[in-house]
Amino acid sequence: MKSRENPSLLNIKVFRLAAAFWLAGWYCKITFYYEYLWSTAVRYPLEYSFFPFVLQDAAISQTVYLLPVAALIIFMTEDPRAYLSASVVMLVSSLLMSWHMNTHNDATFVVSFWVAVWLFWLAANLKRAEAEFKLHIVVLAQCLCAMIFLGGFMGKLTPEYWHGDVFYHTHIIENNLWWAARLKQTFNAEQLQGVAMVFSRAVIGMEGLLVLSPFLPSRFVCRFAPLCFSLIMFTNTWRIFSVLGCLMGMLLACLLLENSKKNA
Amino acid sequence: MKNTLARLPLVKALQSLSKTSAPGTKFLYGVMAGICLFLFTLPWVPRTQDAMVAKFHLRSASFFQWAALQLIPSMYNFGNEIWISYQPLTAAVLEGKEPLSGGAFHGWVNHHPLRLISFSVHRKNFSTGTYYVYLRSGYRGRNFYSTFILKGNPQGLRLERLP
Repeated sequence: MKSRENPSLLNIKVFRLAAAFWLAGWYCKITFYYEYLWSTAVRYPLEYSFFPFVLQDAAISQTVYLLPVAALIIFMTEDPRAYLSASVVMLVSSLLMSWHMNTHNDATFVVSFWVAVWLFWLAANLKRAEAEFKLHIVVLAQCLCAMIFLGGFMGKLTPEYWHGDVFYHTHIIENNLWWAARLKQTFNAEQLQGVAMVFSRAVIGMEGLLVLSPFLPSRFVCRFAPLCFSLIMFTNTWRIFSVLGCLMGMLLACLLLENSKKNA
Repeated sequence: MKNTLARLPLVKALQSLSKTSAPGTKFLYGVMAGICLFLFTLPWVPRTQDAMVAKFHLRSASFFQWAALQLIPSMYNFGNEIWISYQPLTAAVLEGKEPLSGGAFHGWVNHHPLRLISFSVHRKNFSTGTYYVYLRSGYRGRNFYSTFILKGNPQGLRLERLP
């Protein structure tokens, strides 16, 4: 079937799909953030002079957390200016949250920042329809995915991860999820160390494969990576969707683009 | 071989860079390449490791340096441990040569080891008293330590890094 879509409408669809996942990831931990930013951070503010005053203020983190709601406008209009504005809001919000005392720990915001950079670039070029531009939409997304996981991969090239010590403690011993509890019931400490080592090496291997994303066929990456993310969510917690959701959406949006190219 | 290389998405994209006039495209590839180069040096260049630890331990030379490093992806990096104690701890305790005394907490953390204090709904647990906070990040045989004092009072918590 031949595609009859206006090319800029296709870009809009790509943007909307990626932004929908971005927003879903941003707000999927809203119950935690409601308690943390509107109660804990207000009643027990943490002061550390390393951070500028404004980036320690609870009100700033609350406001910035809510800002991306404004990006919902893209689902009501096809005006390119709305897409550009929405991407700027997403970019600035994720940047400020990455730098704020209260929220810098959450990898959600750094990953969201990079996907927002990609969205901003897409919004700035929303009317383009040439084949080269479509190629860059997808390859830039693949590069971004590779860069994010290169950060994780290189930081794990250390005995603490290779032998599974970190995951043994963070994912098994100090973890109360059902599968960790089941493991602890089934295996002794030495066996659990072995399980952690296998798990840790599997994670390093998976991240290594994702680092190769720009060199693998685009359609494969756009399917394989979201599958990997789902696996990571299953073996960790659904809450990690806050970090991976935006990447998943970006790659699924690229898959939509790839499929449209195939049908054209 | 040449044809196989030319079919790789990144090679194809870079070859077509001159054909696209989409603003920012080359810049984006360049920024990502720069960050990837920096990350590739991590296992071999001590200065890169020092910079990343300074980021995780919130002790970069300046906030602006930290802010730039903060944008470099680093999920689940280094082997990070945290100790929180009412009393100062000895090096032997931190190195695991002596047992941890009662009342002190020890745990492993994914990255940003201070998150147990700075990113937790349990901050109220530290709202009274003074605590000694120790961080250790290990990477390829190197160990990096930082010490903080956390002072709690009803108005909030105050964190200070010790030299």
